[in-house]
Amino acid sequence: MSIAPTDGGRGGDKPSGVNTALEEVSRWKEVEERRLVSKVHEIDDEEVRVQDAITELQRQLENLGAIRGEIEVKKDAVPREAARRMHQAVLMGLKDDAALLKQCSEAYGRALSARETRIAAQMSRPGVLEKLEAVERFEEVQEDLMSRIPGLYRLALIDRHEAIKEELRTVIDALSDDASPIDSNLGEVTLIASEDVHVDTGRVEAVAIVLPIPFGVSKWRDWSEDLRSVIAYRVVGAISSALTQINADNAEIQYVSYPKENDGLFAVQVWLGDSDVDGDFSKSFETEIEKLCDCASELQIASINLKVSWQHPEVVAPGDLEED
Amino acid sequence: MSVLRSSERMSFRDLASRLELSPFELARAMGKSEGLPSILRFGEADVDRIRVRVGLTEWWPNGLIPVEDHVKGRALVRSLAQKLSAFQREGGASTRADNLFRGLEGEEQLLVRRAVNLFHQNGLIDRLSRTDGLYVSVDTLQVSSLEQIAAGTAFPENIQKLWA
Repeated sequence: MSIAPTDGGRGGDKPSGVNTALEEVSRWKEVEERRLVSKVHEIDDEEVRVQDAITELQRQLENLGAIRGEIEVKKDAVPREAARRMHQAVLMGLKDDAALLKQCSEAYGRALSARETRIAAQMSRPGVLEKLEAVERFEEVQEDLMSRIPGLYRLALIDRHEAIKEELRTVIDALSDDASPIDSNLGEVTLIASEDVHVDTGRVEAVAIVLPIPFGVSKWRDWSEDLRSVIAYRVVGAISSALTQINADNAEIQYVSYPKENDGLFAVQVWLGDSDVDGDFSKSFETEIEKLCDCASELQIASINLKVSWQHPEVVAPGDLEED
Repeated sequence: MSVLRSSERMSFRDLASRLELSPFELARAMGKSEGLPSILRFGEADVDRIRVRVGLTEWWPNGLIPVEDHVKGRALVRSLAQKLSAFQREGGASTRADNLFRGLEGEEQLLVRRAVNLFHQNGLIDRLSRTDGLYVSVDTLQVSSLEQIAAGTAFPENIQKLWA
């Protein structure tokens, strides 16, 4: 059977519907493949960009890590640097106090000399010493003597005694007056102190106290007694007293130069490690210093107050710190 | 304080010298006992009072050497041993080391200082460190050795070198 063309013999010019559909698919395929290939290239490009960004960020992270490390090192070094700076501040403060105390000591010496001159001038007057001795002797026996003599004589004796005292008034005033107070321009003198505490027991093993006074005072035969040496004696006395109060009167005491050079300052080291300590040295010592500030005449004349500043041992004597 | 006392001139260092101490030794001794007074000026009356207060005793009053011996050094060593054994027998617990040669001067004092060191080396006396200075004590077990030295019957070899 033959199949007749439906278009009267012109049917070969028109593509069949199937072919058209297939061509459509084929075109779509090409377009889609091109589009997707392009997309893939875009993703490739994006991946490269992201990878570059990751590399950059990674580099930044590494940089940050390095910076963090440097900062950590610096942070760890802060306490030590602070101790170093505090040590320098302590040295500077002690040096300044020492210079002021030297001036003050000279002024104190002049005030004492002036008092000595006043007294010597009064005492050199003829008969003054004998009369003073008589007045004092009379006052010692007055009560007992008065009870044993008649009233008339008693009044006469008292009148005579008062007359002699009045005659000696300027002498008595000169002797009674202490040296005139000086304007020390100093006010407060700081003693730097530190306690070494045993790591395991927590007990104080050693104490160091630095005075703003030259170490030369310890060579007392070569040092003229002055305000500074007297302060050194008093502080040593206060240390001894504080040690006795805490049952540590067997503690070793050493005088050392601070810093260690020969021309350093006067420092006292106390070793408590072999003592059966019963109490707090720092409290006892501070109490002793307060007591001496209240009563020591030379401190009153010089208008000086001693103050104890407790510092960490690392501040006072840094281990391997290099001096500036 | 009397006004006359105010005219007294003895400084803290002068007082220390009178007591044959350094001012720092005196400060430590006074800090341990009565403390330092408010005014550091002293008179004659203070010297003996403080001497007693801080435990200074003269072991050789007027420089007298109690044991007679024709060799001076040996006389000093025997006397020292006698004084130490008597000190222990009389109940003395410890005394300042510098008391042991107080009252002597010059070479005699030097020899007794050396003898004190040798007595310690030979275990005849013990040394005790205190806030106010060095102290010594005599062990009961050493009294007989000290008495032998005092009697002149037995001397440790190194001590004999003191008068050799």
